[in-house]
Amino acid sequence: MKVLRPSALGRPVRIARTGRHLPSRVVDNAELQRLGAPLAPDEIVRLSGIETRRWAADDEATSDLAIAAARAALRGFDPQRVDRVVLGTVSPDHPSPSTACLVQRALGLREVPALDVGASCSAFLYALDVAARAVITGDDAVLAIAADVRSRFLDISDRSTCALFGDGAGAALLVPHDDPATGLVAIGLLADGRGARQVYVPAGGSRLPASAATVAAREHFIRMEQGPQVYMSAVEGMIGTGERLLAALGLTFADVDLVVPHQPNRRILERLGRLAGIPSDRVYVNIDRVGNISGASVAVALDEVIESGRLKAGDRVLLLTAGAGYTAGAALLVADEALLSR
Amino acid sequence: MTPDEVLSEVRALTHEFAEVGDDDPLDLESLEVVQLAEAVEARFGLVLSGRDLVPEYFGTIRRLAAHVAYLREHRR
Repeated sequence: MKVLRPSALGRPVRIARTGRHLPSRVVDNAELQRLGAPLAPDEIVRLSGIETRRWAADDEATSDLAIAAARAALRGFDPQRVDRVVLGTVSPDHPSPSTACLVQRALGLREVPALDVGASCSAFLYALDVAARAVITGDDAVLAIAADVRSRFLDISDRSTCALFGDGAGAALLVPHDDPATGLVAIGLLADGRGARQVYVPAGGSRLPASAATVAAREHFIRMEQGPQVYMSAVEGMIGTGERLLAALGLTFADVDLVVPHQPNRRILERLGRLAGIPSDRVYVNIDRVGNISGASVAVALDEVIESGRLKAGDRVLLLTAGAGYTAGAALLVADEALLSR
Repeated sequence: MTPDEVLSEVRALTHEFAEVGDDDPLDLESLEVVQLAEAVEARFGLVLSGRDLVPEYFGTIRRLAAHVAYLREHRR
């Protein structure tokens, strides 16, 4: 895994602001069961640790959530200064054009580049990586957004996936920095296509275009056919990328003040903490309230952490993701005063 | 620990989830597979990966015991 260190390239990068948006509809486990989920509410909690999740309204799409999160991140910042929009999602409004273009238009930005990246539950770190590289090579303000509405792709009759996913969006504004010791210190990404069929949506693409037959066969829903393998691989992905990133910086998990991981399942987070030797009070958890928000989960969690006031300047925050593909990523932030005093 | 002792231990752990013969298919729910894997890890001091949870290794008690014995000997 190659580790990107902006300061080593002569142009440190920091996250200036973050924002998030969750749809207003709260879906608890009892409602999920009423909708047809073949799981009792207490069984959902036992299997996943999830008590509620947010679902987009019928007239809300991924771009709506992304726009709201981006506006929150841009509060007090002139949108005309934004040089690029990078949006991570696997539930775009349309197969074409990119959701990022819809966001660019709605935010009233200049005619700056806007692109989507697809990395499933690793989407925020993939977007952050692209955005950081853009700042390193000359951009002055880049929006990295992650947004997903996976509730539209749920098979309510599928025990393995029906209760897991929530909807939401998170955003971060990346800018050049003058202190190489703080800000976005390092980021590293991985992909392993051997896992490409472990969690996927079979139809709707060029391999199996939408048809009456694919709809009847429920092939537009998320499939997770080897749940236990996905479970273990998610932990391996997050620990592996985290260890390699930290090793490149001469650090270990013991040097990290707070881990903000993707939130696929409460049990996965417990295993992550146990195997990496991270005390539970240093692993941020919000899955009980918001479920697995796919690509947006780390972006939403990071914004919650910053808003909570629990960080102090100089704290090391490790972001970890793992997702379908397989994809995985790790990023180390060192909190700076300006971010915390937003 | 001999192979027979590993088999006996794996059998006891598996019977917490399903009372099946050593060569019967293990028909466990996803979470039960994970719980059995974590019980095996705790009992034998191993860390299993996703690649260890395939039917070739987790298909029956006997196959799982053989895999555990192999891991104890070669990998961890």
